[in-house]
Amino acid sequence: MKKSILVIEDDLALNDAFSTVLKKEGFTVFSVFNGQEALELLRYDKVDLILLDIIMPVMDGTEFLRRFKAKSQTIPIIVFSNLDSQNNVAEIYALGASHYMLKAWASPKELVKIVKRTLNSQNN
Amino acid sequence: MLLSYLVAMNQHRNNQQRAEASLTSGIAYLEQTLFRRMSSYAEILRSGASLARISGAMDRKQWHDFIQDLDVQNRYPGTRAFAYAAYVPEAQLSKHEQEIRSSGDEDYNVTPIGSRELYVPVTFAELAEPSESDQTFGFDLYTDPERRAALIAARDSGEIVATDPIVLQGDLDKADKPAAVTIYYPVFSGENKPENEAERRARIRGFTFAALRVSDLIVGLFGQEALNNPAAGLQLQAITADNERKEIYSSPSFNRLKTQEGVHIRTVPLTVHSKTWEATVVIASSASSSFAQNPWVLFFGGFVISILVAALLFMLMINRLIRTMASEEIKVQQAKEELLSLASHQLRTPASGVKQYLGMVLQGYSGRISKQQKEILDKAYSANERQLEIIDQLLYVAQADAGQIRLEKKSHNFTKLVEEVVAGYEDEAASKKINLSFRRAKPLEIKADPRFVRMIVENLISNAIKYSYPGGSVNVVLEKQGNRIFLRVKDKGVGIAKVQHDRLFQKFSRIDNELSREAGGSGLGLFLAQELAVAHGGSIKVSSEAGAGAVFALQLPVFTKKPIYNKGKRRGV
Repeated sequence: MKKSILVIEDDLALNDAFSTVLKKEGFTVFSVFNGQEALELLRYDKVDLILLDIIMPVMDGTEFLRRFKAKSQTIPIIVFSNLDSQNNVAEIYALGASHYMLKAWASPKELVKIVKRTLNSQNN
Repeated sequence: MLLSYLVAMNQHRNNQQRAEASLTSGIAYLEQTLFRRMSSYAEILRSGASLARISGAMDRKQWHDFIQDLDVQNRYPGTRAFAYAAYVPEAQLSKHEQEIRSSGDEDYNVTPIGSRELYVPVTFAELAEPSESDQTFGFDLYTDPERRAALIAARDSGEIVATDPIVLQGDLDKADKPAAVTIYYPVFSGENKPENEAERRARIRGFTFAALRVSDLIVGLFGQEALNNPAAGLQLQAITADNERKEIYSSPSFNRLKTQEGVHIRTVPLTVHSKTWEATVVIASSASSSFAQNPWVLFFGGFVISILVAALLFMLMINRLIRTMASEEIKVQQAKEELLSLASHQLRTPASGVKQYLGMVLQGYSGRISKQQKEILDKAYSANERQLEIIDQLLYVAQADAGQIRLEKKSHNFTKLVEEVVAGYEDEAASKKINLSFRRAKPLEIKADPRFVRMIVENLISNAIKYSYPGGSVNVVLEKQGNRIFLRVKDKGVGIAKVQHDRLFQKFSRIDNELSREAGGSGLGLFLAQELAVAHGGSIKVSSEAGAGAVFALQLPVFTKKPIYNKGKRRGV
């Protein structure tokens, strides 16, 4: 069965790029542009993986994580962001992120690799 | 300053004028006071003469009462003696002596004893110092040349005559013989005043006189306190019969002031009962004015004030200038930081986008591409990587400048961290057919910011992989030496020429070699990796030769704290 991935990324081009690649890899992709939209979508749809950008308007990634965790959901989350966000990486992991990725440096292949690896470990 | 100068000059002129005025008035006062006293003496002597004439045979008691009534001590302080001397030709000497002896003074003798034509012995006297009676009574004034001259002049003129400076009998035995003066008034027998010299000589009976130490007189007239004034001085000199000047008084400050600079000095003649004295008065010009009127004070004060004001204004100006400059600088700095941060952020997103799209094409997500196409796209991809690297560095620099990079040091297991990073690169190494190995080490605790040390390790390992040839190997060795941890990443790749070593660690630098176009990288240059290492108190060193691979050694201090509790054993609190 096709796995579904939720892409949460506010930049149009990147959002589109990630979605395109993942679709080509055979995943079902839902894409939203901020944490608020993500929470709403997750009320009705189930996904197997979340790709989460940290810096977003309306509700940023960290806030989303908190709320998401509060709902005690167990979907694996790959967080990607950059050095400059004043992230507390530890907090992000504590909030349940499976992987923390540097956005700017993941080529499509690498992204796909991590996605697949995460899904596989989830299955085990 | 100019103002204070002018004011000072004006004040100086005022001071000068005032000093001159003081001098004039001081001298006038001196003259008047002296004149008044001398007049008083004259009156007293005249009254005494009248008494002597009227009472015929005067006795001591009469003289005493007369003088007592005058309240001499209080009203004429400084007078040494008021006395009467009889004019005794030799023929009448013994009669004279007997008369005086029988009137109560049994020891009366005319001294010096000897035969002379004429004697003028002190017959009655009221003395300021009664202890001097012995020397005084009976002393023949005529034997002393200065007194004689005055006596003769008084007799012949019928007027009061003052002596030249003499030493009083009572002071003869003193070391410092104070200058004194006696003033004589002739007493004639008969009723009317004699009209000529011959008559006077015939009718002369005696003299009333006042004896005074000049210093006592002056002190009595003006008071010692006034005379002690350090800024004013008085000197009296008598002009003798020989036309010599003899000092008879000088106030304590006189000699010092006389030779001082900027003093006002004046000499005036004073007539003292037929004699001429010279009074010299000296005033220090600032003495006549208060401190606030001293021109030097004014000038200096004005000078100082003007300097202070100037300095204050200057400081205020400079302060304003600095503050403006500083705020300008801060504004510029802030603008710079904002621009840098903004630009980097804004640049990064589209640059990431380019990476994704180029990557998609290169990595097969848009169908086959020709070799030619791949070549070209590879270059584009590589250039984009470079972009992203630089943007990262810019952002780091901006953050560091703004003080936003804060190391959050935590004690953590460095070995585990290295293991994780190595694991993360396994796939990439495998895809390049590079053998990546990590020599297992025991857990090593370090106190560092895990985010940043991770990045350093990632940078070193990714570089090693990037610059290795396919089929090569990358070895990671971790060990602890003393207080330091060493992580050595060794590759057998393209290497770096010795001359390039310095450039390696510079900002935005990239050594161009055949492998540097490859994809990959952790987003930090060696520059940043080294910065972070140094920020932890460590360093990154390279040893490499061109074509002979490289060893990058990261050194970090341990900074671990010994645990207080050691496996259940308490080691003290």
